[in-house]
Amino acid sequence: MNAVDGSSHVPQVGFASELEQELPSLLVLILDTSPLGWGTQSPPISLHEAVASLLIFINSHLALNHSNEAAVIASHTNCIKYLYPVPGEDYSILAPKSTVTSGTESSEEMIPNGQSNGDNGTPNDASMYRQFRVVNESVMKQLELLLSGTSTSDIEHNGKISDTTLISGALSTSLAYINRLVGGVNDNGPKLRARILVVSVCSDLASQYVPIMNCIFAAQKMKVPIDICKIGNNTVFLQQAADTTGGVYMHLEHPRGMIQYLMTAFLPDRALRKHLVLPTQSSIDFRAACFCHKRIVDIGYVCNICLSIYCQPPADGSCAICDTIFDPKELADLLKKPVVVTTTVPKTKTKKKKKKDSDATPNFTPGP
Amino acid sequence: MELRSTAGGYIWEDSIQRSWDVVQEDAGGSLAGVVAELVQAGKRKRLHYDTTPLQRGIIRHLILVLDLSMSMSEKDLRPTRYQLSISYAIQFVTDYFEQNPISQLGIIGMRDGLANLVSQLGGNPTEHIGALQALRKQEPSGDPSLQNALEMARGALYHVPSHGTKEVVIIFGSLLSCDPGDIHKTVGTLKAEHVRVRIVGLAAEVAICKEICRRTNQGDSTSTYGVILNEQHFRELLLASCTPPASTKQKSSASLGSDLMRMGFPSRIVETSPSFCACHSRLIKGGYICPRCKVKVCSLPTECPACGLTLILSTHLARSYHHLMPLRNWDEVDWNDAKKVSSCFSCLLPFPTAPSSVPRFRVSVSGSTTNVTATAASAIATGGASGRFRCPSCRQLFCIDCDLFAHEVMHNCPGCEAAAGGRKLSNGQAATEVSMATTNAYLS
Repeated sequence: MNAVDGSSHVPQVGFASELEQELPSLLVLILDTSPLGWGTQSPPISLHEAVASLLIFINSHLALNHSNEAAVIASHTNCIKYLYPVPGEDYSILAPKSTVTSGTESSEEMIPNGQSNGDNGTPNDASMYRQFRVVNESVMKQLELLLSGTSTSDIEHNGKISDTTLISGALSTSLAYINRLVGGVNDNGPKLRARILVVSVCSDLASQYVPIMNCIFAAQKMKVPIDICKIGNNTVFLQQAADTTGGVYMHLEHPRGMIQYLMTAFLPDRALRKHLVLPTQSSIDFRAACFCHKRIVDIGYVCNICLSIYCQPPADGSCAICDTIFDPKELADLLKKPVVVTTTVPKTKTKKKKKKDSDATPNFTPGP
Repeated sequence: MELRSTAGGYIWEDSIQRSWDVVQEDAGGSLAGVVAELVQAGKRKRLHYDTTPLQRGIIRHLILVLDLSMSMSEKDLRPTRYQLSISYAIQFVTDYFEQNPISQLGIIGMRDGLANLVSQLGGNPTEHIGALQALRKQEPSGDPSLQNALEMARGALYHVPSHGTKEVVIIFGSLLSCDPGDIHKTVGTLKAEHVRVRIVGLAAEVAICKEICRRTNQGDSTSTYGVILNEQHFRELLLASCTPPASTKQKSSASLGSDLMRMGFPSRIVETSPSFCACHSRLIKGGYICPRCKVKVCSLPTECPACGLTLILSTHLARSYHHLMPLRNWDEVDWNDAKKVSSCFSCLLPFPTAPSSVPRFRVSVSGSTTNVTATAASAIATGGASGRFRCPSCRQLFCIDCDLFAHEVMHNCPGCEAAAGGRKLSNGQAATEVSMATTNAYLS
């Protein structure tokens, strides 16, 4: 349990069997597609560039082992969407013709070979590894559908444009997906080793605290590391997610070199990681924010019924969240401050010594 | 005397359910469909939890009492009752601390008419598991004494502050108790000190056990005293104690047992050279610094060895939130609504397609829990098999495996989390507020 909550910094890898190293691995990539988040990056990186890097990354993951699998989930502002695999599509039979619709800049840039000009046998097309093409085409097509279907009203929350995305939903979904693929009935234990990579640009996840925490604990139970590739500001919850599950947290200082970060830090799978020196986070903020003033506290007061945190005992003696009335006696004990006895107090006790004391320096003694 | 029942067998055989009577071949003479339905029914039975948000005692103090007497050497559980109990006890310790990170546990053994302390009340699971492993090498002997064990547990729980729960869980394999005095008096004092006792019987129901559970749990002995049917049932009964108990009305209305706790949220340090920790005097690199007295401890949660402040991480508190905000049960969808969606929302598993005529066998499920809702009960009874489950708030459809996973492991609904404002109160605070408001309404 200590390893879990960050007591030991280096992730403990206790399953070093030779057999496990042979297991194929499943990579679930969660891509934050918040339009505002990508639009406000400095130094700038466009979604196109990022997706290009990610596709190369996914392809190299698939290339490592023939039975490696990948899934891509977009975490959008108002929904989540599987970019690959797409429900209802059968990937065992590859469509002879490319399905990517021509027209948008992005698809032209990314997959020049995806253009099917009535000619389904361009040299590039034919030479491309089938699995790569399926993933690339699916991701591009679905992403295009997702982004073209987004209107300004979708990114508004309470009349204010926000860069929040549904990371908790994407995490929950990917864990359920992993649960099915990995936990599937098999005599010889798990048949896949799974991990999650979150590419995140949004900064504010405070509203999803509880669901994200639930996901983190579920991932930890399933021994699924959550890697975080962070562009933009650091996010405390995602730092905690990586730390708790033994994943890698990486803040990209030069987002344009994303492909290099991806290849060096995130490509090795769980069995390899124990032989590598991976980037670690030296300090994670584990302090709590109080519910009353949102102050960061290091000594707080916790309601024993609903576990809400206060920076000071509430003035009215009852919990603001659950309305529990606290025991006044216990509350008084908490409010008690160390008593500093000044010279005026002891004079009632020892009248005889009064003259001597008044001449001396003030006598500070702790109270009873 | 008429000993024949309507079914043709003897009267006393009527209550016996033979699993082979339930199973029928389908039209093609195959059993595969029926077996699949049985598996589904088994899963569904586990699906329905009590989702009423109750005020629960989150900070728990629990004494696990193990029977280590001669009766535990029986081989009716494999390999012996003794070894199996220890295995399950270890699992219990792990699960208990996973679900109740800021709680404490102690273990007592009953042997030779005496109560032996196996491990002290403490918050470190590895210590308890080590103590249990050491028990494996010993042999069960003598008679158990419930009174001695309860008195010792009472002593161990005596200092517990009023905001914590006091609980005793007994694994009892014998049919007798060898007591030095009047056990009823002990039970009386336990009741006066708000100690709750749960018992898992391994052999048969014992009157005094029932009496103990009834008196210490406000007259409720049905949910607190259980006699096992088989290994699986043993595990279920024991692990049921991992869930924090609901606070009782009497306690909460008296405003006793609710107060604020001062806790420290230490910061982690990374050191290049090792230094001693205050708790174990071991040389380690890094650790946590107590915010009040600046002493270094190596693991959390713990109590600061220097100033006595409870040191935890905010993540420890977050582990208990799902007890306070349980996920709602999902409803089973019948074929009429089911046709529109072809795969599970979260794991993309293709749903079974609707058959033109539904060949259906009744699969009876015995022992369904008391919390089953009316619709769920009817779904179980009909063995409805569209394989789709709907979350009542986000209306998304899920497969049965995702249902189990979401309720047992994740405690999130992927559909609700994936809809902007679908769970409008995804803010932890607001959600707590609502669940607490419901709680108060429920309790008053």
